[in-house]
Amino acid sequence: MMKNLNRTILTSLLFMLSMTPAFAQDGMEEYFYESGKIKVVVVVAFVVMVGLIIYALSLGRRLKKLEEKKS
Amino acid sequence: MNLWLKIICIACLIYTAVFSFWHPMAPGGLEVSAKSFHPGRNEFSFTGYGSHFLQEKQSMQVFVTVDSSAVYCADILSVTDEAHAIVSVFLPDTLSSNQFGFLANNNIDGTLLVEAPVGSEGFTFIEGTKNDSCHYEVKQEEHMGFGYPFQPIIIESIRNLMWHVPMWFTMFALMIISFIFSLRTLSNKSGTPDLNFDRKAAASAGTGLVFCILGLITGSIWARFTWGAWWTNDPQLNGAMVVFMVYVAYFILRNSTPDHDKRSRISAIFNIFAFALMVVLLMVMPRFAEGLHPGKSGNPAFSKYDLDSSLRTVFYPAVLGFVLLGYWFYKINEKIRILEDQQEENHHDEKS
Amino acid sequence: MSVFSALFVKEVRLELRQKHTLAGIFMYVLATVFVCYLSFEKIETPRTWGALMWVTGVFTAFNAMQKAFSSDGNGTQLYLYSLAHPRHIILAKSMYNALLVAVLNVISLAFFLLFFGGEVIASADFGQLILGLFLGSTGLGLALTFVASLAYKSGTGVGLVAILGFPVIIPLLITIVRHTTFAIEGMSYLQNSLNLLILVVLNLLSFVLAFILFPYLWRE
Repeated sequence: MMKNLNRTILTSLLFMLSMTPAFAQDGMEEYFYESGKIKVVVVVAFVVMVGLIIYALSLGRRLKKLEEKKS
Repeated sequence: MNLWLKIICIACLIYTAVFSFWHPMAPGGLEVSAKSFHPGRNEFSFTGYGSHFLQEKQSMQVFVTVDSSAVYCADILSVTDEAHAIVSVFLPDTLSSNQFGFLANNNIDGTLLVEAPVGSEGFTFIEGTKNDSCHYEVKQEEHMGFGYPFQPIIIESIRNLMWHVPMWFTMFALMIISFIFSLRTLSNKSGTPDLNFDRKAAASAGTGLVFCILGLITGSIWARFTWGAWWTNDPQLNGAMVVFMVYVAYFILRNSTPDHDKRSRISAIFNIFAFALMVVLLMVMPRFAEGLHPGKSGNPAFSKYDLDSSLRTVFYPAVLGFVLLGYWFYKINEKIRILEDQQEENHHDEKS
Repeated sequence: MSVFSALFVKEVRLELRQKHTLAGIFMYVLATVFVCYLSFEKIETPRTWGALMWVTGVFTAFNAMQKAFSSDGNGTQLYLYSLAHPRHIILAKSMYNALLVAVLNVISLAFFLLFFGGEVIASADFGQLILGLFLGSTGLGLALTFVASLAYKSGTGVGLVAILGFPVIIPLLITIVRHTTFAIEGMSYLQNSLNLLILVVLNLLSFVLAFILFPYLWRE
C-alpha cells in the first residue's frame, strides 16, 4: 500500500512537472486554449482521480495498520 | 456497503470516465475575423468548431443579422477547410443599429451562431430598417443528433460538468448524512450522547471535506480558463470556501476536546450549526447575489441548456457514481474510527 | 420572564463591576480605529468605509465575546445551572452580548467620524446606517455568544472562539458590508431590502439555533 501511494504521488508529481512549461505565464493560456480547451478537462479529471485515489489509499493504509494492531 | 452498490458505483464511474470524453461536441460557431464594418462589400472569415464546411460546401450559407431583425446574405468566396469559410457581405448605407450577429447554415451542422462585437463606421442608423432581399430559415441538425451543446468560451470544457459538479453533490449528500447523525447524537433518549452516531457524523463530514477540497481545486482550474482568474468574486465560490473553513473548524473543535462524551455533544451542536450555514451559503445566498455560475445574471453558461439531454445522460450517472463512492469512503472511514476507538479503550483498560 | 430579566441584570452588573474589562474593550475600539486612521489617513469610497467599519466591528465583537462565558467562575456556572433553565441563560447572555456589541459599534462609528470626518457619509441614509449597525451588531453578538459557549464547554479556552467564529460570521460580514455601503451611497430601503432580509434571516438563524441547541450543551 505504502509503495502504491508513493508511486501515485510520484507519478502525479511527474505529470505536474511535465506541464510546468505550460504553466509559465505566457504560454499557459495558449496551451490550454488550443483544441477547444479540452486540456482543462484532462487536468480537472486528473485532479479528481488522483485526489480520490490518494484518499482511498490513505484510508486503506490506516485500516490495515489498525487491523494488524488488533490481531 | 452492499456489493451491488459497489458494482453500480464502479460501473457509473467507468461510464463517466469514458463518456465524459467520448461524446462529440455539437458543432458551433467559434469566431469571425471581422473587426469593423463599412457600407459596401465587407470580407471576413467565419470560423466554426467541429463543423463540416468543406463536406457541405453545397448547402453552406452565411448570414449577417443586424439587431436580430434584419438579415443580410453573405456570398461564400472560398471554404478553406471544415472550420473556415471566407465570405463577403454587402451592407447598405442605412442599418437599424450596429448590433451584428453571424449565422452559418448547412445541412449537417444546422445553424451556427456567433455573437461578437464588431465595430462600424459610415452607417446611418434608422431603427426598424428591414432587408427584404435575403431570406434564411433555421436548419435542423441532421446527423449530429447527439453531442454536448456548444457554448462560446466554455467549448470543450463543458465536459467538466461531469467531474466538477458531482464533487459538490457528493459533499452535500455526505454533509446531510453527517447532519442527520449529529441530530441523532443529541436526541438520544437516555440523555448521554450516542458515540456510535457521533462517529458516523465525523466520518461522513471527513469524507465530505475531501470532496469539498477536490471541488474547490477543480473549480479553481475551470474558473481560470473560462473566467480568467483562479479565484473570482462569485457568491458560490466564496460560499464553498466558507463551507470548507467551517468544516475544518468542526474537526479542530473535535480534536481539541479530549473527553469523548463532551466532544460528541459539542461537535454535534457545531455540526448542526455548520449545516444550517452551508444551506444558507450554497443554496440561499447565491440565488440573491450576482455571480458567474449558471442560472444567474450575466453569465454565458448553461442556462439555455440546463437540462440538455446529451449532458443528462452522463451527468446523472456521474452524480450517482460519485455519491456512491463518497458513501463507500464514508463507510471505510467509519470502520477506521470504530477500530481506533476500540484500541484506545483497550489501551485504557490495560493501563488501569 | 422574571428569571430572564434577573439574569440580564446580573450580566449588566457583572460587566459594570469589572470596569477594567470594559475599559479594555473601549481602548481596543479606540486603538483599532486610530490604527485605521494612521494607515489609511483618508477614506474616499463608501465601500472602504463599510469594510473598515465592519472589520473593526468584527474584531471588537471577538474581543468582547471571549469572556462571554469564562467571566462566570465554575461555581457561578453550577449555581446558575441549578437555578435557571438553560434557555433563560442563553437568552439573557445573547441579548446582553448583542446589545454590548451594538453599543461598542456605535462608539466605533463615533470614533470613525471623529478621525475621518463626515464627508464620505454626508449623503448617507442615517436611518438605514443605524439599522444596519444594529442588525449587524446583534448578528455578531448572537453568533459569537453561541460559538463562545461551545469553545468554553470544550475547555480549550479563548483561542478556539476565533477559529470557530470566523467562518461562522463571514456570511453576515459579507451582507453587512454590502448593506452599509448601500446605505452610505444613499440607496432607498427598497433597493437595500434584500440585504436587510438576509441580515434578519441570519440573526434569526443564529438565535433560533442557539435557543434550541444550548440546553444540550449545558447538560453535564
